[in-house]
Amino acid sequence: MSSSVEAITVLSSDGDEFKITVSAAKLSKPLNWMLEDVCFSDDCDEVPTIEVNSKTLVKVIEYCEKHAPRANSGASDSDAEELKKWDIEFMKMDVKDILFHILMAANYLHMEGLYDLACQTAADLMKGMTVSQIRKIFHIKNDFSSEEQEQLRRQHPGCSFD
Amino acid sequence: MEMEVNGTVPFLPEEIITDILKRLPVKSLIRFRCVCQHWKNLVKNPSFITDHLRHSGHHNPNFLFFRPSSSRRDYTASLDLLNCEMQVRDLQKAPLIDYLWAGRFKIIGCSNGLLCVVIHSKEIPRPPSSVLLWNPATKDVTEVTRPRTIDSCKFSCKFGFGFNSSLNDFKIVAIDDQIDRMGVYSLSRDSWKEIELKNFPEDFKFFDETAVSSNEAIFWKGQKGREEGKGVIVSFDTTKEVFTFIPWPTDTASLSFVNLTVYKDKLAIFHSGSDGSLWVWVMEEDIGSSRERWNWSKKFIGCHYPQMFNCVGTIWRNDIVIVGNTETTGKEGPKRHLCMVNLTTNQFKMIDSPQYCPVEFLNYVESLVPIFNIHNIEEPKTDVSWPGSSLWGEIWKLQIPERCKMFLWLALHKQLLTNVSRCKRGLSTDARCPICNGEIETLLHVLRDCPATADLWKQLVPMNLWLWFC
Repeated sequence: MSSSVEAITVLSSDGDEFKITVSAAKLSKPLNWMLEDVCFSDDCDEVPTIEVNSKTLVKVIEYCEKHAPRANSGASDSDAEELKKWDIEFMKMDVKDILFHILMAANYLHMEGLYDLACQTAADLMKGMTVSQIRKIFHIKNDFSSEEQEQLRRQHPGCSFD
Repeated sequence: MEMEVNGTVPFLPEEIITDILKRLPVKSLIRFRCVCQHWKNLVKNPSFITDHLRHSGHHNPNFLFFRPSSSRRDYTASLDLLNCEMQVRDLQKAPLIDYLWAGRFKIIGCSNGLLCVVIHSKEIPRPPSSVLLWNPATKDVTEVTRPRTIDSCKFSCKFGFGFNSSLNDFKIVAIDDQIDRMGVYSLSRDSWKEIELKNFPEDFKFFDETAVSSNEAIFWKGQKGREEGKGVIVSFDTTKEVFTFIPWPTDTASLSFVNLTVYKDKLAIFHSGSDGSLWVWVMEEDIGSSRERWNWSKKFIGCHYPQMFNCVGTIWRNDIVIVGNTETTGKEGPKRHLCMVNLTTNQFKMIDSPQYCPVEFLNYVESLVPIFNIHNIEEPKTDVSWPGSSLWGEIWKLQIPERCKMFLWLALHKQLLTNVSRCKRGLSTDARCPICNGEIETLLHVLRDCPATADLWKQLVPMNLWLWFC
């Protein structure tokens, strides 16, 4: 049904329209299913909504378009090496407020490559963070009693419980 | 690293947080126990421990080696770790390492991040040897209760250590030097079981102390008969607790060294011929009905590795790792180094020459695995919460056909191609449901309201919940 279409249009959760090429959309299983099962003809007025905000969706599509050629055809080692470098650069950009959104989107769109990449980036960032910084970004409340805190403080000198 | 927090940082669902945490090193996870109760319990949670272990085993298999940190007389040693990026780092400065170094010790195995170490005292009269289980990452260490067998035979015992995944248990094996009794220790029972050994051949002899474990079995090298070259591999099935004797794949008489190791979870042997050639054999278990149960695949690695004579070694990832000699320089005699030979490219290289040569080395994966009765760990109670977005992850993890996952995903996105949406797209002119032939086929009709579906729900959903369901 969709073989004649080269790009599809999707709506972000903010209501913006985005074009994504069919080969890039195939990186996401559910998007691929939609392509197979739902008719995307030009006269069709229905555009599928992706539960991802515009800012994040731009990044996700950027990732898809970059990785699509390799995923679809297989690539040489040098390409893989280049892609790895690109991934590192990609993750450097604006990670602070977008990384977790990308994580959620990759999980929701079932994109293993992007999900692994984002998880690893988050883990690498966490290694250098203090306990209170961790609580902040994960919205976690310190729920230890004062006795427990005292005990933990003895086991982990230097950990803050503020 | 500074991380600014603003209103846009979303709440991550539990499952994503777990996926991030399992990528952290043990050191960070232990530090993050201070974050909250839940994270403190998570590092003790058996399924998280397993996830973490699986991830680091797959992505970050390390190589561990013991080496004297200065001259032998100082009795100080270090435990170093070589990671996949080929960086060497000091794993831990622990009194235990110096303690081990001062005595006579042997690491009998390493499995799932736990080391099993036997310590023989140097005192005379010799007190009984002790067996330690040690997780260098969490710094937990414990002495295993002593079996009677070890008390009586001391350090001439042959040991083995391995994890049995079907029993979810670690086992330590000790065979006395007369080879007539053995003890099998189970960590989950924290006790030894003594077994009389009957099926060992009269003239059997262990080759050396090295044991390897893979696939729920522990293997040793041995020899049958006086004739040289009649090598045999002893395999101990840690589930059934029985021995099997596997013949060597090749005549061992002319070999200058033979090493038992594990390659891609299979038992493997590598050896050298007198000409310096290097061979690897990997045991493929025969599934067919032929009488020969053991099938070996043979691989020639190369011819010119003269540095590697008379060495013990192992296979780490895709490399043979052994201690080799470099050319003799000056009066100190040959220097010894860790050497690697790649199994695919056959390339030879030396690892960043450590000052003193390793004396013990093994494959190692960092883990949170605790050293106490592993079955006594309580699963911490977690709140049953279903944040909307976590639903997706739940769908991907279901053990159901791909087609069904797709159906669920499309249904949740209201993207199922019902007759109503077919009509909208001009693919059909009849929007009615073909089963009940009455109402128009909307998503809710298909999934809930059609009499055919509703009957099913009535059987599945308890009556007191019907009100909520409609």
